[in-house]
Amino acid sequence: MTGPVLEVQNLSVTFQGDSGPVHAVRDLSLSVAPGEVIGIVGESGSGKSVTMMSVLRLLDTRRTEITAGRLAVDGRSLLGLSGRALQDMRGPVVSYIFQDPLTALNPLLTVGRQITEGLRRHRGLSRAEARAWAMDLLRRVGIPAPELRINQLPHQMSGGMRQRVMIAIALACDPKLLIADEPTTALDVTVQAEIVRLVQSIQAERGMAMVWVTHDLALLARLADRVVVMYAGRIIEDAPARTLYAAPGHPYTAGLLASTSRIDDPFTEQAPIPGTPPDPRVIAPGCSFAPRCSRALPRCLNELPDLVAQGQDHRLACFNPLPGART
Amino acid sequence: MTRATARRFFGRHAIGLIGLTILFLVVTSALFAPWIAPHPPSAVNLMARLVPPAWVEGGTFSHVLGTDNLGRDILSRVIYGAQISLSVGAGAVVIGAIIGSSVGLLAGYFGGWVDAVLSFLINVQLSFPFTLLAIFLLATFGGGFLSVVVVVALATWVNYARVVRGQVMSVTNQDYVEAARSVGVPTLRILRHYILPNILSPIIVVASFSMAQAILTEAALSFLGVGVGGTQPSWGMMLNDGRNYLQNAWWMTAMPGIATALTVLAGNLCGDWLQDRTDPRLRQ
Amino acid sequence: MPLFLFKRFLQAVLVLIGVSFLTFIVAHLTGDPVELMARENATLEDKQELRAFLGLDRPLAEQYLSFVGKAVQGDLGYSFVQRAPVTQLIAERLPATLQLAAAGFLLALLISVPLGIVIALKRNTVWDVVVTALAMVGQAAPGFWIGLMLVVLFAVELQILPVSGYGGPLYLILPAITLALQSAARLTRLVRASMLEVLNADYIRTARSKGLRERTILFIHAFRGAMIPVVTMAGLELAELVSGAFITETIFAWPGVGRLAVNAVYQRDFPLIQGVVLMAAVFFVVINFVVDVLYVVIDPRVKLK
Repeated sequence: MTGPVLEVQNLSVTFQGDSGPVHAVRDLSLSVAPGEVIGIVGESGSGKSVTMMSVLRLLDTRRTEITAGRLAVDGRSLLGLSGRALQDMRGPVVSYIFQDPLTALNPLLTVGRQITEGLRRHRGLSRAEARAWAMDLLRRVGIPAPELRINQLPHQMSGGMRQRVMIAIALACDPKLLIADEPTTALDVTVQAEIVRLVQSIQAERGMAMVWVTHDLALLARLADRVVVMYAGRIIEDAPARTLYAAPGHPYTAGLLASTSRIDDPFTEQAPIPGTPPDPRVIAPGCSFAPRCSRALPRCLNELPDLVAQGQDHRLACFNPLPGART
Repeated sequence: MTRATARRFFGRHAIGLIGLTILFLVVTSALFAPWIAPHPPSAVNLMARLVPPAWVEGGTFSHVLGTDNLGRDILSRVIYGAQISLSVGAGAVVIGAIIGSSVGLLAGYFGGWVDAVLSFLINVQLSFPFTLLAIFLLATFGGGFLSVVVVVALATWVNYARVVRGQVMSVTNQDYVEAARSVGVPTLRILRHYILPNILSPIIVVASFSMAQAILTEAALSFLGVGVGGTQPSWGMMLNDGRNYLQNAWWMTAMPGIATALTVLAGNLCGDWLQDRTDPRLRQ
Repeated sequence: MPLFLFKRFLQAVLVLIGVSFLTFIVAHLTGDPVELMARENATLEDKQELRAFLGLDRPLAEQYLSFVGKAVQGDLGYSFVQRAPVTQLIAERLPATLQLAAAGFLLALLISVPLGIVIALKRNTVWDVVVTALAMVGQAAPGFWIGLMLVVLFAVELQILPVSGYGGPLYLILPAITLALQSAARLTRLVRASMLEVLNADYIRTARSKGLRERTILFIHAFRGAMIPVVTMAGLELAELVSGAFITETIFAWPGVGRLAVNAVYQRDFPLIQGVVLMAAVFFVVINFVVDVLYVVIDPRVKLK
């Protein structure tokens, strides 16, 4: 099977907020190949998490409207899928690692229970089999003394431990696609690197596809094959990591890179991008970044640039891209 | 205002509007009772005993809500009854708020053994079958308006004490209060300038709920015959009168009960609304 | 016993001491029982003698200690009005009250927990609005008034239930409903709010991301967490029910402790009142302690704090 693991075409997500609709994601298209690692980067509120949550409809269905031309995982369309069929996809096909393991784990259930329940649901394992499997998983994610830990509650563990448990839960049913939603943001800096390395090694070992959502562009440099940059609910640039870091096409991407500290050049002044992201309740006719953009042309304010291919593997939504990106 | 914003406005403030409207009607009835009430509340008319409400067979429009066992007009008595309920409610709220807030303020601000002792008092009060104590006190020392107000205030002061204590503790731990303390701002000044403004809105929220609770308690006490007493009708007294006529004059019981329920509902609605407007964490 | 429970236990003991002292003082302030007990033509000497016999001439502290000492042994004094030991009078009436309170409590839980969960799941629908509105009205109307109206409907108009009295299960229905409704209204709103809060928690999303069935998510992941505040509240509600029983028993001529106490107030039977108040307070304290124990059972985090 060589088709993409994840196909998203023309996805839009709208929330019913207290003060009117919020357009969190607008007309987004994306695909992830088997075994590929994609980084999605953007500021908070750019719609990066919402995009990935809407893949398996983990958002509050009462307040969220999801429309898409196509939304498929592993060749199977998810659009209009009923509750039970959707549940069968969650876990064995796509699984998630969430940001804050303290709130993402149920405080009242043992770690063992939280790992095994997915196994028992999807794989039909007995209690003992699931437990043995969970023990292996705990060992694999680097938790010492799993036979003790398996009976503990989340709050009896450290933050890093908890995130390892979260990873074990996500890996339990051997998913085709792993979605990691800022899995290191809530952790201590020292622990972050360990968790990144752990996920990376497991991904390599199992060969599953992975989407890593983050606001940290530097982190993706050593992790992702391809980086997708989001701004105000849209993809503005999508390029192989190497291309993107060497020659970003979108002024926003360039700005993000400039504001990221670089190990090889510690003395360059970090330049934050001036201005603030737009209000997602208000749709501007032009490019959302135009008001903050130093390269904005008059048409940028009135016309929306499409996301168009700029040569192989590189998509860009900008009327006045940086010169290096032109091929 | 467009229709959408109107809907949003009324959606968010609907319960407040309903509560305030009812409260306004009740307060107006109480204040202008002599002009609104169609009959004097205690005018006995033995020729017109137990007349049913106007919409029931045998009812007349001169007694819209019917008459009681002595031929007194129930609508008029309900209107006058609002005076008692509201004044007991208001009196109890003022006394309860003063006692409770002071206790909460002291416990929260000084902490340590002061807090330990006062929290202990609060716990004792909460572990007490209060209705019984209230009946007991009123039966012993006699009823009357002031006794009822005091007893009802004693029932509600704990609400203020708990909320104020918590709020004061969280405010006192704020950096700006610590700073003010460390540079030697006098205690009273800190209380007045830093802490009082922060506990005012929770007190108002608690007062709304306590007003409702006070009116319910007054009704229960009067119903048991240990209430305000006197010649002026109160809703609880009317309920007590009606109890012996359940078999043939349900309206004697129904009307004052509805009046009580509406007024209490208004207090609770205002409380809910204020709470949403100020701090949802205060929900009890 | 975990430290948390030990602390709570000590607190409960302290509260009991406080409550017993308060009861004692209030009873002492209520007037001289000798004036009530003595014959009308009793002389001053007669009264002195009676006072000495009752131990009322001793210092207050000593009287209190003897009161507590006897209470611990189950002796709550002697009712001169009823001419029987208080403990015996209470014991006779207790089963009826417990029966009523248990029925009312069970009913309140049976109404509120399922209803609260259902309207939480169907939030912002017509069902939610209707049930929430009903609950608000139920909270606002005096419980005893609803009871009286139920009597009008079911006993006077429809004549399918007895007006009042004590007997078979039919007699229990109206008092139990009367007692339960206000608690049910409060608890329904609490269950709804608590359930909504839990359903919004991150860990529910995690559970969903594992592909668990909605049923599993609801009963294993959400229910337990949602019940933590409800258990705390339910304990207080049970205490509230015991208070409510005083009026309910009076309305329905239910031969329980509440009616005994209300009559004792009218007859100025102070030892009896004192006994009932003390017993009710002990009951409250015990309930609070049981709630704390339950709390540890459902929420294992408490134990470790």
